[in-house]
Amino acid sequence: MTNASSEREVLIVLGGFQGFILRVDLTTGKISKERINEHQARLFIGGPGLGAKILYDEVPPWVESFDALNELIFCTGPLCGAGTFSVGRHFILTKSPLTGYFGEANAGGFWGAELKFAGYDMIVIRGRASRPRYLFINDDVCEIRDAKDYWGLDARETDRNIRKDLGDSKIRVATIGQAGENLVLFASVMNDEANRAAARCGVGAVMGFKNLKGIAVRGHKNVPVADESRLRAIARETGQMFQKDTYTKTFHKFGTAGGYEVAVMLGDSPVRNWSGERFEGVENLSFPGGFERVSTGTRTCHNCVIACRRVVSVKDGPFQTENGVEGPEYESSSALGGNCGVSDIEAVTKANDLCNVYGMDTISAGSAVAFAMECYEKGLINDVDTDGIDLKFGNAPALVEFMKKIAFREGFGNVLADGVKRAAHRIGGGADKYAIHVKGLELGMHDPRAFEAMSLTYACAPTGGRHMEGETLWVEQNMGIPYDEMDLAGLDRLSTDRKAEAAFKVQNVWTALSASGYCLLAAATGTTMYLLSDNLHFLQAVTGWDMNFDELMKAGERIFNVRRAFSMRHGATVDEDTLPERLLHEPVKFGPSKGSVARLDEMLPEFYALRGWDPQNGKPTKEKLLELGLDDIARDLWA
Amino acid sequence: MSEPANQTILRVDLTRKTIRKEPVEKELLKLFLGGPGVAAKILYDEVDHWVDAFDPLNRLIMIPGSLTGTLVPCVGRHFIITKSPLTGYFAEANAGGFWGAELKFAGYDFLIVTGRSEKPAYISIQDETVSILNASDYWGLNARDADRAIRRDLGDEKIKVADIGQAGENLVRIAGIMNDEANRAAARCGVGAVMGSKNLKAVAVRGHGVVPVADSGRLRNEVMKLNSELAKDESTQHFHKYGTAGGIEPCVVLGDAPVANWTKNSQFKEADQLNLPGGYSEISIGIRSCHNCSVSCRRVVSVRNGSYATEEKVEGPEYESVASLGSMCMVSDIKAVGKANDLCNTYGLDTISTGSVIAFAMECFEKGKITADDTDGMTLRFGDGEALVALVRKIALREGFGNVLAEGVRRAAATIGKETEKFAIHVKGLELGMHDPRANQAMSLTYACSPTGGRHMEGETLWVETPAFPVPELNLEGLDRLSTERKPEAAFKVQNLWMALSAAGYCLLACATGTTKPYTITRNIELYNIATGTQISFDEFMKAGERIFNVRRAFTMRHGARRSEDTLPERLLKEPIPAGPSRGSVARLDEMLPKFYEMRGWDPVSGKPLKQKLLELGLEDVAEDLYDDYQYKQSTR
Repeated sequence: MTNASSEREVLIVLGGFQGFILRVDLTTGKISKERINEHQARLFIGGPGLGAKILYDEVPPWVESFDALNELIFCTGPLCGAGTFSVGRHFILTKSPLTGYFGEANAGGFWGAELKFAGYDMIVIRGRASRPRYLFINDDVCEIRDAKDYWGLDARETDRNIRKDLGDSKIRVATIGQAGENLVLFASVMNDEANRAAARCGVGAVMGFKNLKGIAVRGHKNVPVADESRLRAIARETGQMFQKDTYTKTFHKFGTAGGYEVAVMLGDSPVRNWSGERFEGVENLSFPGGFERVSTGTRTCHNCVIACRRVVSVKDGPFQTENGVEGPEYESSSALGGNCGVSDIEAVTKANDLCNVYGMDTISAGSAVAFAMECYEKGLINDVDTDGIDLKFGNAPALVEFMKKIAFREGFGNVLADGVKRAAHRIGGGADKYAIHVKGLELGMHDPRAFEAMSLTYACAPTGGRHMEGETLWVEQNMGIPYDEMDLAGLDRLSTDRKAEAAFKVQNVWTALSASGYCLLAAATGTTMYLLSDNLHFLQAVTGWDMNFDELMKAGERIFNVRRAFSMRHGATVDEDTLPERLLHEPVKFGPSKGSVARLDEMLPEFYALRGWDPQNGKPTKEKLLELGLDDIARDLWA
Repeated sequence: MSEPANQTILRVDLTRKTIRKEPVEKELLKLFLGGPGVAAKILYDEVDHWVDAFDPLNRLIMIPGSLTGTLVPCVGRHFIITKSPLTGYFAEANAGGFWGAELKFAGYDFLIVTGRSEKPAYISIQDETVSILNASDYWGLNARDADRAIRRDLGDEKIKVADIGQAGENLVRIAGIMNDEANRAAARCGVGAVMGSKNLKAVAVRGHGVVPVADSGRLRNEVMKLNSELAKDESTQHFHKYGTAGGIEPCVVLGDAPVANWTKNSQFKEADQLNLPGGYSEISIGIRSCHNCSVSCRRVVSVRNGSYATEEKVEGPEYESVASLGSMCMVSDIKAVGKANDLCNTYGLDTISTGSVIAFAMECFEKGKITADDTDGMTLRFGDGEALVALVRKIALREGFGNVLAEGVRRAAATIGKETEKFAIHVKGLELGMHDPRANQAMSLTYACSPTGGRHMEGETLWVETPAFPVPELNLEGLDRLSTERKPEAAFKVQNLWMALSAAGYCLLACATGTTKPYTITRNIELYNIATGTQISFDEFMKAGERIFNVRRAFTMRHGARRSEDTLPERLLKEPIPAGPSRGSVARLDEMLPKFYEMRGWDPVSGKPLKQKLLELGLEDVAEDLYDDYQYKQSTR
């Protein structure tokens, strides 16, 4: 055993990093601290970048998602908690039970920064407790505790009760609700009193399988910064800019829900299970518009200059909620609203809040209900299957009812709780045509028929149909401030011209900025004045790395390929790099995207070439892996 | 070859709570002979590579053999086919007893369970009436208590129950599925954990029908003739008298039965204390039979008092269990082994994997890789019967250190670290059967290349490798067990034969090892033909076995297995047997592998069955899956 104080003396301070990984084995009950490897940190930037490499190295292909040896990695980027803006996110990585491949979910709020303040950049959780447990981290004290009093509670009650029982209301809790306990395959991990969700890829189900109810964190340490004065200077400068920026103000005022109406009009936001049709009730969900009926205020994540979170309440009626809960974001309005044909903002708000308290992904939950509605309308399932519920598009009470049925796996909810890919298999009779997913993950709420490059992100992302792997739509509509570094001006969203390049670049930059800790919406879409150069300067000041933009992009490419390699090694095949048939063959039926289908095949060969992926088997080529310094992965994939 | 008789599949979806009956495709019966042969193709077709073992979409297929329930002797087996949570690949477990025949009497040849019930459930099959019932009252009971309680509550003593104990409920990866009051186990590959993941506690069956046979008169005559020969056969009667446990002492002496986690073969003088006759006689009180068996090898035992006391009449450890719980852990107290065996049965654990993981832990402890701090204060040393019995319980209930071991040796080693994977004796995640390939070289090929991982029942070559047990039809006389000569051929033939016999439902120990001399392979095939009305030749029979083996292999390759996993634990490749008649021998896998691949028609680089082999076997669809190339996909997209 090394003496703790002498350890501190020899520790080289790496800006932005607390320098420690907390390792927890729930099977053996052992907890240990491990140094961050500085060389690795630079190669993978940190956060979900470094986490991807750890997951790749430590979870071999024979380990299944519901497996004690699967790891659940909670991590923050180097910028989180270091005094820069819009970096209050934490990331959860694991092998996904929906896809069987690389899984990521992330959330805003205050949990990530608190973990950093407690002295850790990352928690790597392995094993499976034999009884319900939760983790309590109070600076240097980490304990695995009995969670039997919380098992069965929803995520909000759990959050409140843990803080009450520990006697410190400032503790931050990340927890699963009943959906995670019941292994709903798209269960989420909630934080901030179940108002923020790290929801995609079924990370909550993995946590539930581990019998881990929550992670309560309290920290009092500062995050070291390499160049304090430079950081202060950039912060002052950008802070002033943000105060004047009208984009930022609009974003603050209306949040992501403000984009809903435009997206529907454009044919971007799916309607009635991606039917490509017009959505008549859109104004009832838009903001400004119907959303105003429930909106009561705004909230911020840790150290954010935008503060886009909506506080809402439904005061009475069948869809009544608590006061002060948070409202549906764009993705949730779209998944639970338009995609289910539901235009009642109160119902959508209630369904969103139920997803939050039960701990479920709103995108996948909404997609599953929309899928079921289409199956019902097309006669593949009937009242006997749906437990007597008239599951037509637009039935708001049915939508709300199904949130509970899914979370508790009641009746037909048990079918939908496994996600659309599995539900379609179970229903049979051609139901797979209506299951809109890639590799098992339900698609994000942006239609590649409206933004062609999104086809490549959905089809080829290591996580399956996840929009956050590189949301090209911002550069495709030349929206907001232009990113000169990307050199992508003048794209036409309905053309496939230069889209392989766009997808390649956006994916790399998003992956790199995520690894740094950025909220991508605030910092990478051009909807605020947050320039890419600001992003980079903050990273340089905090970490002390002399990283330039090309190196940043290269790091993003490196991480993207590690994630891809994980998925390929875990059984992904090249023919899974595709889109649901509907998006490839059924055109948008109205509006400015009318007639468009996703022309994936036109872009795929060029994209593979740019990525350096083998067109025969989809694996990153040996040359590409060596170029990226991933020699060990090259050995694994090309032995 | 004339048309085989109709067979029926019963499909139960626990998610949707639906029950459906459908006929089996005749073509499948012809190609795969029925039973687990056909089930392998169904699993291949219905479980995609992205479906995990604990996925509700995984299938749990429970089937008797084609002949089970007929007059044909020694076919009282049923099989569990699923995707394994230990290996992630093809899984099979099988058991004797009465459950399989009962399912046939109820009118079903296949039970295919999918989905995951929201609450604990069990399936009741009473002839035409099939229902999914609430099992909340039985959840948490051990497999024996649940068996009794279900029969009591359904009011029919004659119901046959296949169920899981607490181990399966707790998703212990080495859990099995029990039947006959938890005295018989379909245990390998973690099939009980799959059943637990489906929230399915039991399948209770009662049937009153008769299994149709093509020519019942002729079958009766042939069976009477065979039975009278078996009654006079010395070897058969020896088997009846001493059962499989009669083999432990000779196998230890030979170096075949592993000792002290495969480190001290032939160095366990106390083996006689576990043998029958020998120390085993102390607990043995009787004999039982499986459905319509002319051998009857099941031991009834009882440990009357002391800390290892059991119920009055339970069944005793078979050879594999005596070896895994006894010689592997160097426990020479037959009462401790009898008790550990019965606890495995009631909790619903695989004795092979349980004994192996405990022996692994003992080695880790003795070599200082774990200490009493890791083991909840227990001292784990080879030979400690009390520790053995205590650990069985901890594993089933996932208590303390048992939670580490409940995952099997591969995962336990990964959890403990410190290079303990060297002590983890498994192939592809499955703990090896209790026959050392260093003592019978062809076993190397069966363990290394079998689709299920280290399972001895994929083709137990050791019988043909020893001159005492000739199987004339195989033309394999004169093999030397320590030589690698002609061993690829031996493995190839024995594996194919065992696959085909299994599909028909034959108990391999009774029918394929040469221990029941009059029951020749020729006779097995003849009885199959008389009962099913087919005219299959020996060559066609063997070809069907090859076909089944390749479908299983294709499943495993498609689910991610790599050529490099066709290997053995380093210990068996490098550390020679230290004493006895096999002294100095290591498993010389590399000498045999290329020839074996060639005979099998497998690609030496990827390990996949070659396209031409698959086409030759009539497996066009499998060939298309395994060799579907990018250009093809592009053109049809």
